[in-house]
Amino acid sequence: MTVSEKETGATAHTPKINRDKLVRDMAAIVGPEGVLHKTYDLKLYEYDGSVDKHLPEVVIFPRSTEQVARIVRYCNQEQLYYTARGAGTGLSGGSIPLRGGVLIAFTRMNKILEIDPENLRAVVEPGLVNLHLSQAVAPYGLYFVPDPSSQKACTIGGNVAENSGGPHTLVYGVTTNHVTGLEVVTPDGEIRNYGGKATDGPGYDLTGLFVGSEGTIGLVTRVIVKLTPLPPAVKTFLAIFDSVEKCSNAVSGIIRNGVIPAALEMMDNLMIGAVEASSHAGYPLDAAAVLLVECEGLPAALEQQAGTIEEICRQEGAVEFRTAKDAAEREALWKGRKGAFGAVGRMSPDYYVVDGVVPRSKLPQTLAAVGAISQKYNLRIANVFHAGDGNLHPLVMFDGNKPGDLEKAVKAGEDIIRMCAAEGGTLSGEHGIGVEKRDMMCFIFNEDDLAIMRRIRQAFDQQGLCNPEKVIPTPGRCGETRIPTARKAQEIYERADMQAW
Amino acid sequence: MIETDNLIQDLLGIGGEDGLSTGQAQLDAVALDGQSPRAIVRPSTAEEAAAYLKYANSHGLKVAIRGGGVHSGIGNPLEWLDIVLTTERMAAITEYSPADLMVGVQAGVKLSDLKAELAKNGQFLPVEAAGLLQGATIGGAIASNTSGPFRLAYGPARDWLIGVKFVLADGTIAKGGGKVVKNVAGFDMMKLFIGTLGTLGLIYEMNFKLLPLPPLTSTLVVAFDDYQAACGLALKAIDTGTFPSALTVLDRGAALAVGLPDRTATLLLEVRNTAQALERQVRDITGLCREAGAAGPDMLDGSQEQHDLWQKVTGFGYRELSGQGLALKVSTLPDQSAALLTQAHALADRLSLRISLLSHAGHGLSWLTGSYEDEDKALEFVRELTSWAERLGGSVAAERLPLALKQRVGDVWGTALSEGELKLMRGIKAKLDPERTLGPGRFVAGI
Repeated sequence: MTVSEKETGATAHTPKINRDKLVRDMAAIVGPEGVLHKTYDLKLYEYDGSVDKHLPEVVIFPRSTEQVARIVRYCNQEQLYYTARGAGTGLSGGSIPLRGGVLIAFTRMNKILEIDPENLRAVVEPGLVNLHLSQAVAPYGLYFVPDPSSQKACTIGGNVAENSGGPHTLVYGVTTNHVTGLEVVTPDGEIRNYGGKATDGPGYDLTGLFVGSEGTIGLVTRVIVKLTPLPPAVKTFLAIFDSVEKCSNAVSGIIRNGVIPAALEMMDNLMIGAVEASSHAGYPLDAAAVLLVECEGLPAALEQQAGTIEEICRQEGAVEFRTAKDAAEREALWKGRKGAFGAVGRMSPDYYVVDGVVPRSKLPQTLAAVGAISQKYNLRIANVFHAGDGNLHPLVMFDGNKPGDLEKAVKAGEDIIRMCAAEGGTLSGEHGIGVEKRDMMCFIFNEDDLAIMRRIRQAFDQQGLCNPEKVIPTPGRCGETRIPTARKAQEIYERADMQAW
Repeated sequence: MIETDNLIQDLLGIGGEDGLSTGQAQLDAVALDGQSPRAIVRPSTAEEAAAYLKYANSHGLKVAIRGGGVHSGIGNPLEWLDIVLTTERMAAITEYSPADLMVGVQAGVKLSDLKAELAKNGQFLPVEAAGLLQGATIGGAIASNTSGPFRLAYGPARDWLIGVKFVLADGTIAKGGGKVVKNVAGFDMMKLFIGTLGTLGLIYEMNFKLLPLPPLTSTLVVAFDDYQAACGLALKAIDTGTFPSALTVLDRGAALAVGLPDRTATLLLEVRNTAQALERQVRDITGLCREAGAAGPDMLDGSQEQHDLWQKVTGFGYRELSGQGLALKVSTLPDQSAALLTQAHALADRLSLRISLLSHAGHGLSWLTGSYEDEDKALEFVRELTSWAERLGGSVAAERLPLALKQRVGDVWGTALSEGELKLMRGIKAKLDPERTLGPGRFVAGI
């Protein structure tokens, strides 16, 4: 089978493999306790936080870089597809083994190998949970900046793959700005070191290229992260608005005035209702929209920044401006915000999280457009987003058991993404392209742009076995609405192959 | 090989007379590593640039890309040179949206012009480069991944580049990223292209995110008798939460070069903030100085005075090489600045070089300039310092060397990269520039 056949999707399935042999050979590498192969177990690994799913042939849990390299070499030898997985919290299907094969789960490689507070670095294994890193370095007065809402579960390796963000990345940037080096098992099965603890090493910036490549050009086995000193003071407040438009005008005003807070999060009324029902965080139920603002830095500077932001909010028509009076109030507000996606689960049997970005000055018209899309499809859409970055997260609510509802939700999401692209924005701010948005890439990239990404990918993965069918669309397929088709294909796959297992 | 007369006719056919220079003096002025090109082309659009590159690529001609010429000397010796492509006619700010803190610029825009334009709206781009006054362009700064003292506060240039448009050697025009500050759609082509010295393609347009100018700044100058104490205070300033924006330790020669008094070691600190917070920062740093038993600090308050000093610090690595001089960029971990200063001076004393060194103690980049009489000894100096830095996990880039020395050094980036990583880099080069049209030999390991 040639690369081009795989790239064009001419071959639909992994070649028929001898499962017993596969399980035996994998157990020889990682031990029998490191291999899952019963359908019952595999079902837990067929999905992530997105709407797609696909069963792997086996799930394997390596404990060392050497084991990862042996697994990859084995896959090359046997022509098996392989896909990496962290905690499975991804929102674009990046860790779903779309062509089956071997799913390499990194949860057992979760150690912190080194903390170097003097140089603001830590060396960690990819399966380490994001929050555990910040907790471990807190005694040194340090933290790891990227803080996705899933930070209690998601792994650093997954953050590297997806170039994850979070509410507090407005000033200090997302994952790629906090990674200085990687140890990677390349698709050739070789162990390579990109970058290091020091910066500006010679050669092409392979670390920068790797971060955000969604597991398509190798598997990360060790991460050197940059740590950041904890702010000496933090001030959190809530600006309350009686219209979404005023609230989004305030966001644009804050950015335009050059006061950049550490976090600037917006929620609309529907979202506030969901959050309050689930966490009683203290958000006002009657507000049309709220802004959760956090400033950090030296206490004196903080007062002034907070003052300026309050003034702008009031000018734009904020009805109230509340300051969190203590750590408990602050934590409650953040707990509510970070639990927003889950909270929507109480209001709707299913929801589809959309991740799009627009230039920050375009927020007011963008939110109006989301409202119009909600009416067009007659689906409720709750809005929660990283307003300071222009990063929207509309949650489209639907009922998967109602015929046609999933398709409607997917189309609504696609309309939102198309609109973001048309406003000069992008398809994804932090959730990744994966399989979810692969065929939307042509909204912002032309065939030449995509062909170059394909060339880069081939430079690393000549055989095309590493996380197939992700990120870069097959030529000519771009723009097709894909998710319902994937679901159908999945049903067929289950019928044909499941009983045999 | 195509005859020069035919070459000129063909190039005229692509971009006309405005796009072409063939006068010997002009050609010699852009010579690289002792090689003058046969022609200089000056495309005014991406399409024209693509046509020139495609032509060169299909005729086996070798091209070097040039911005302001400030960083053109960086890299290993060019194997061959036929055409220099300059970005001087692609010098427009294509889009500036102050409300979005975003700017789009063509490669040929001079950094000083961009800076002035942004300052009109109270904004700035934290991309620093030597040669600001000598015509450094934004394209050149990105292609050579330049840095300066304020990287401590704002991170490297790569953190500010959010979109890139480029032309490959085969004439393909393409892009990566976009105009928004958060974007994970597709591979990060910005990271791939930054620092590649034009060996993967011509970066013709870039989008950056911007910042508001700081309300107020203060610069503190502290004199020390030894490097250890100066670097120790620098790290302590970070550790105790005084939030300095720049921390630079200068040896005697570097201090004199930027117009500071003659001291064994000088620590420069800058803090930027609102008035109240600034006062507190200065007070805390003064306290640290007292604890360390250092005299001072001396304060520079005038904004012009501070600006001029930091500009000299940023430009320190850049000088027109006259005769036997060299400039090295050294990357170490932040806590190795003092060791570097000590090591470099011990080596220089032994090998009879006169060196000056300036180390950004907070972020680990240092610049060293030196002059020598004995080329053998200079070679030994570069090699020994390089292997010292590499043993500690850092690296040395010999950015400016006379050709004779450059040809003997081996690789101006040292030997930190293993054959395995180099194979991957060669693979990328082979995918994007298979004919090796762009700057052949110039990049790491002769890529």
